Amino acid sequence: MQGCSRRSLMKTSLIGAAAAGTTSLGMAQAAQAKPVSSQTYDVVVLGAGPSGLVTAITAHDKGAKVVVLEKCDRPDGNAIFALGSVCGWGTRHQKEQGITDTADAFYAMMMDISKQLGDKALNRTYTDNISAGIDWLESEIGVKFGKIRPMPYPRLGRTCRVVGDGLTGGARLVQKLLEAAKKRGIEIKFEHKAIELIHDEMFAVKGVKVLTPEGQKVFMSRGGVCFCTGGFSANPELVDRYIGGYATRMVLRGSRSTTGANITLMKPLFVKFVNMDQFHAGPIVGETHVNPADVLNSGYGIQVNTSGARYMDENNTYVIKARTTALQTIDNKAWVIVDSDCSVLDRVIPKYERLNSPYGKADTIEELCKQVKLPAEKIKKLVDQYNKALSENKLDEMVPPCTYKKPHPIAKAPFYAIPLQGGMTATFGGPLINTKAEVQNLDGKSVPGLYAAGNSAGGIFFFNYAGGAQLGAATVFGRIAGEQMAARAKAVAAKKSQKK
Amino acid sequence: MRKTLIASMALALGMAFASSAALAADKTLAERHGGMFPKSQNGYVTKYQCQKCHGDYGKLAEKTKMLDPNPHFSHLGEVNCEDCHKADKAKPELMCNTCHQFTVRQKAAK
Repeated sequence: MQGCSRRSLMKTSLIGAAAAGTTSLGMAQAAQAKPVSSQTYDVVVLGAGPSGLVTAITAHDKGAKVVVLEKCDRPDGNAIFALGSVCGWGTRHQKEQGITDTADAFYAMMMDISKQLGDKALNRTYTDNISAGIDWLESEIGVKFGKIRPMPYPRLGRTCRVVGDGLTGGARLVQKLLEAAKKRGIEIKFEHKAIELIHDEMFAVKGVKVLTPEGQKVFMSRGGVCFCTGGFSANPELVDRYIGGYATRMVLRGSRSTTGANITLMKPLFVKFVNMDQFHAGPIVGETHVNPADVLNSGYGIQVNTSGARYMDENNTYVIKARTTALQTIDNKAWVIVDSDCSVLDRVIPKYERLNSPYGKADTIEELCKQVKLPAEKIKKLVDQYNKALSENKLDEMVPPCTYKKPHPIAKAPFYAIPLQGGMTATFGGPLINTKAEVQNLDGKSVPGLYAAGNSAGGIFFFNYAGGAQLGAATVFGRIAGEQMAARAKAVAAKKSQKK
Repeated sequence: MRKTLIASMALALGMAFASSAALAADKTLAERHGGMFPKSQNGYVTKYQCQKCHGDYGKLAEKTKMLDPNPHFSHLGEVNCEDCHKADKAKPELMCNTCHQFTVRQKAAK
């Protein structure tokens, strides 16, 4: 199985089993078992992905005693699946490549991509701190960035791509951060799953209770607890509750371990959760995780559901196509029918071959449909209709309309049927933070001692995100959270010693 | 869980009934290790136990560098050995293929 170690899962299921057949009270009682140990740190970080490790390293470098608690037996969040782009402006790389850019232009892009609904202060903070963040990743962590290429979306020459050296850029970034943390002697405790926040009578966070293979442990913190546990895309109940049932049928493009601990654990503290219905979608093939985006963006072909009907305008981005496929087809499955003129096939087919990912290829539409179990007569009629409408310049009169700007006929054999499914990349919703990475409650105040960074934090993203901005936000707000918590720990310690 | 029980039972019996005529290739991982197989903790063998004899991931990746893809060098990082190498199986079951569908091949010699 993929994901966390089965040992930790087994422990969890033992608790589940203990409570099975009883009420939810049984579960609560199980969770209140006497902890086997209690330790105090300056800073407690939950999650050993980019935001968690950046937070931990920053806090350590500011003089704090830090512990990172990771529920899995290795970092297993979304980052290890990522290309590893960090989106920024004013970087050394931009300058060296002669790309001129400004903070205002960058901020405007971030806000445009979020349809002006991303939190303004957070996006400004991102803009003002990302350049220093990228420098820090290079100089302090030893991350190597390659040449800026004008991709991914919105293709504006702002993404520094981590050199993967045989791994995904994201996995390499995590590895570099892990090495940097280990070099500093930062304690990283694996198979330590947070199960409950510990707070005082004024709801200030004081620590966290965790489940480990040795039993429950308590980690108290002077500076606070920072959630760096990612989003909730791998928790179907939360996805159903906040986004909708259709989205639970989407294929996870990333981690199976991002199960929304930020949501479930923070809820009792009256935290303000925002943008909970928002997420990023992308196409994928579930059985093999091959990405058909190139075909979807090629401007070729028609897109049909498994009943052989068109269900959307093909002139859309792959993000919209992925989301719509999940929303408009009951089985979240569809096919793109293209002919051999499709300009990206030489790139796409080898990827499908390497992963043994099925696709159809035949000299006639009828034979093609037979191969991939699509209704041949219906598809043949649809292709003829499409070609006729194209020749009469009436594609926009089809139902649904097809609004390709430069449409191509589906005429030249062999024909191809490329499968696609809607996949979920990451959720955008979460506890709202302020520009100090402090989690906000429903009364508009910071919850003392409670922080969030990376995809655990809500407010920054809405609708879509600039490629590389998730890892960028993890860097910016991780560094802020680390600084803030280290300073808070010092202030708390000073106050205590004054009392003495 | 069931697999684990079978594996534990096999271990507990010390494979006393294993046919001596069985080919090495057909033997399960536990059988091939014999008494060297690590003692499980809560029913599971940890990667740290395996690494005591087999070395760290750097060493393992080097050992299998002629395979494409290299199962010991992936974006998933240092996964638990048991996620692929099951005590009760003769051959590893690649966890990569719970998401992907690779056929692991020998790289062509350069």
